[in-house]
Amino acid sequence: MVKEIIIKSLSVSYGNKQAIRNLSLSVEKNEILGIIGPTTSGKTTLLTVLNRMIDTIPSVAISGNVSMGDIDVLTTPNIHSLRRSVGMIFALPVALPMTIRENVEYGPKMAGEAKGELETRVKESLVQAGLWDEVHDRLDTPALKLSGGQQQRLCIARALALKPKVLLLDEPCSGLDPISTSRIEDTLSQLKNDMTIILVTNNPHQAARVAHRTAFMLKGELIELADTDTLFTNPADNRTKEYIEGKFG
Amino acid sequence: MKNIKLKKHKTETFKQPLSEKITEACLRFAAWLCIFFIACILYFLVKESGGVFFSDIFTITGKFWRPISEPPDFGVWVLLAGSLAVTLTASLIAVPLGICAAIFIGELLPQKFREFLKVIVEFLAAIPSVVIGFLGMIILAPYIKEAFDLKTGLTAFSAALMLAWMAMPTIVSLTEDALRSVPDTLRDGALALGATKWQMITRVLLPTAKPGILAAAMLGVGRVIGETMAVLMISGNSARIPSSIMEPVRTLTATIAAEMGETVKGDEHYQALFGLGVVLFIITLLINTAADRFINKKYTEES
Repeated sequence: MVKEIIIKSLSVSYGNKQAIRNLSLSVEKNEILGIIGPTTSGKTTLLTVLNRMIDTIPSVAISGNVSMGDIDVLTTPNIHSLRRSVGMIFALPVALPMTIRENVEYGPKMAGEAKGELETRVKESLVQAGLWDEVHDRLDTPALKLSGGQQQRLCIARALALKPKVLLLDEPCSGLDPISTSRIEDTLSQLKNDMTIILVTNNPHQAARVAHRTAFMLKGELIELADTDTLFTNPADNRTKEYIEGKFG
Repeated sequence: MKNIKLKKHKTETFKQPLSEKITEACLRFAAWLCIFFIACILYFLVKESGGVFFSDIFTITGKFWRPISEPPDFGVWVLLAGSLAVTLTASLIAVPLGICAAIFIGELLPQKFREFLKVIVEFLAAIPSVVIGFLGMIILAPYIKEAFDLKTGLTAFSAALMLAWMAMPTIVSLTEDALRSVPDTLRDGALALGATKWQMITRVLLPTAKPGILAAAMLGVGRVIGETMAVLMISGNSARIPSSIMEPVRTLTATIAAEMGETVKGDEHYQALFGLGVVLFIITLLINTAADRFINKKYTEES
């Protein structure tokens, strides 16, 4: 298996609060890696390190080593191009206040993509995100008129328009109904053929449904990382077992 | 037990409407009172101006303001031109500068300096206009006279500079509030797509905050139009139609302030000054209504 991301002894702290403690793991190409764990376990922090969105937070200290192909994530001078190749989807859908088409075009336009390319790129991305059939006849209406689930898929399409190598999802379904959730899970299963996906979720069942491997994090530490089946049926660590069984979290 | 509790709860909710009714009545009263005051202002302005609007001596397009010649000549256009020259110039300076300053304070400056600078900007708003007029007269005017080689430094441009300075705190402070009200999720969303800070500001932040920024600009402009003391002192007070902003002008407001003391209650001059008041009132009303329409339209389009 080809490794897409290799993280070595990563530690992150906000002021004197340690968010991630000496974490090492690697992500394989074209897999869906699920990350589960209760709040304040450092899941979101880990994602924001991977596309350097963590830079927007003042007084943060990072140590360790993260590499993505031949890019050294923590020291790369070009964070904008890093962020284009590592798409991120947030818990709350953030449709930008413009039309559906403009939302999808936004990333490629800023990256300096040629105008002629955009039309096909918009269609491709919306098809990939499973939204094309619902919106193809109203691409020029405000994106904020879409429903929550549609907006979240629009956000995925927007990230896809940049043809990312890695897609980070931070609890993408936490505000959505079951039907929208299963739509997004279907979309993810399709997308894994083209990219590597890291899915952070508060809902262990979601990881069990879509992830190839699942990691369990607790208080900033990686407790266990295993094939999803193994982790859910036969966890090695007692804390993992208790979390999955709903004893805490 | 359960039943009793339920009943008690019910009587409590029954009490609520009375206090709500009182609150509502108070609010309704306050709202109508505002409208009543404005109606009163308009009524007295029109009443005191008498029939001057329909006389031959008071003309909107008139190019001469000669209140003491015989017969007197009350041409509003000459003063309107002065007001427009000063207001437009001041807005052209204050609005872009104010918005830029707000972006700097709100988005680029580290948190700890932000509050400090904002307090200082807001402090500018507390300076009385007569002080600003005084500074303009003593310090700015001689400098303008020298720099542009003019006969006098008391010009529309000098007045516009000082007024721009007065309008800045309003524009900066309100624009910064508007930018602040844009949720962080939108900033993050744009940044996560690889936008640079500048792209995020121009393509996401400014369009989203546009209604608030427009309101800020309008309130700033409103302050400039209504300003009297500073323009009276700096604009040169010459009732001639200016051929450039480097000439002295006289505004509607300054005319009312300067000449009211010379009039006899009820005579033509007195009525003409109230006529100017009506003109000013209508201008402000038009600007506010236009701004309001535009802002509301934007909101409904995007929500």
